[in-house]
Amino acid sequence: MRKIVFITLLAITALGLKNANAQTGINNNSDWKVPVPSVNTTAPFIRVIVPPTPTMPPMPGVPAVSPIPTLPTGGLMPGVPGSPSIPPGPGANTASNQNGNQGSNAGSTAGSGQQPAAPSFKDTPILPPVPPITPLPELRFPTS
Amino acid sequence: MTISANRLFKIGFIFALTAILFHPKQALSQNNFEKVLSKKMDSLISEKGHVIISQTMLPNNSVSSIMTPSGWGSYGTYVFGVVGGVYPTAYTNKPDLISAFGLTFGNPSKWVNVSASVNITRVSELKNLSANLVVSRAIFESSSISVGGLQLFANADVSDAPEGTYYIAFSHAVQSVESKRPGFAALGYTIGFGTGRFLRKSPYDVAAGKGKYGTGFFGSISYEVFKQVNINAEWTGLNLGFSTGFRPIKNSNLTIGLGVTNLLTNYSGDRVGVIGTLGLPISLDKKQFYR
Repeated sequence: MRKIVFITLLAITALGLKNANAQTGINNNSDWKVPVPSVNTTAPFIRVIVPPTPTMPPMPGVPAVSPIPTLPTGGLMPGVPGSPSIPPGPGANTASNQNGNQGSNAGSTAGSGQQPAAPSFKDTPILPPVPPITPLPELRFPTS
Repeated sequence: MTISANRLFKIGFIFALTAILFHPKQALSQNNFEKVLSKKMDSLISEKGHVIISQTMLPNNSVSSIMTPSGWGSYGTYVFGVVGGVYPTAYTNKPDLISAFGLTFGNPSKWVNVSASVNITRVSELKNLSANLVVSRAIFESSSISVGGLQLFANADVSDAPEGTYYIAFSHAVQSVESKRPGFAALGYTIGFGTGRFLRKSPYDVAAGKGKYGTGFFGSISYEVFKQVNINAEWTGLNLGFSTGFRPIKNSNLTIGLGVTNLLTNYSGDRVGVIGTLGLPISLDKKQFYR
């Protein structure tokens, strides 16, 4: 059947060749009144469609990951607050002043005796205050 | 020392259970997946033609337009031949034919595709030669653009339209309408602009008071109604036409297009013409995978 169709079309084409000429020689643009001389070679292929990877649906309870980096600039760790200044230790002037002021402070310190000088820990490192940990709401247990 | 039958049965059952649980062939379930994958790849490799691995669909492989060019190029290297005709030609009672043969090569997704061919516009006398040169490139998603010249360098002593045609065309395959052939789009369209055959009317049209120029803009829309059978509507820049295209032989690239043109005779031409094409691309490539 296919061969018959093909041979028939070929025969019609061949028979039409003799009179297939619309040229009149008067520049009537008949050369443009014919089909575009091109053939479809777009897709004589086997095509494998690879679908794009679907985006993962958001899971309940898990915050969505932002494409914008949320880490602080300058490092992964948050900035450590500056250490508080070390209070001055009890020097000689301070001790004499304390002795001089004992009389005036006697009323207020009556019964308590002389207060010992505050110990000085110059070599002890002073840790910064620990920032409070923000409680995660999803980790809260229901209060009974 | 005696072992009871019940105890012996229990020990045997445990050994059998252990052997089943740790049997290598059953434990390596990945093997089944790999076998299926291997079969799939083997089936693809054994298929005829090239394989395109893509995330988008191209238009189907039947005729999508006859009187207007497409923005799509070809994937691969082909020699091709085409014969096209119209009956009757405007303002005559004669048919007119054109034939062409040429070469197309290049991957339009990575670089460009080039199509070069030679026309024989007087088929019956094997003369009136001219040239076609078209460059196409895939752009965006499932779209392509082509720039080219048709019927260039024709001899003015022989041709009645020696100035040639230059055009630019954009084509898109609609991804939401899938073809009956997996991996292809059933709906596509082309829009473009051109000079020459898309712009200039016949001197007979001018004499009839139908103007000197058409729109210059051309377009076509194609839809697959049956598997590898399209119906097309096209505006040639000068007139309206409808056509259909199909591939009559399975596993063959022979394409046939049939249609009518010059439906709006008030705008140009004086009669409706029947158009047809017969084209055959022959691949020169070995099997390739295109991305």
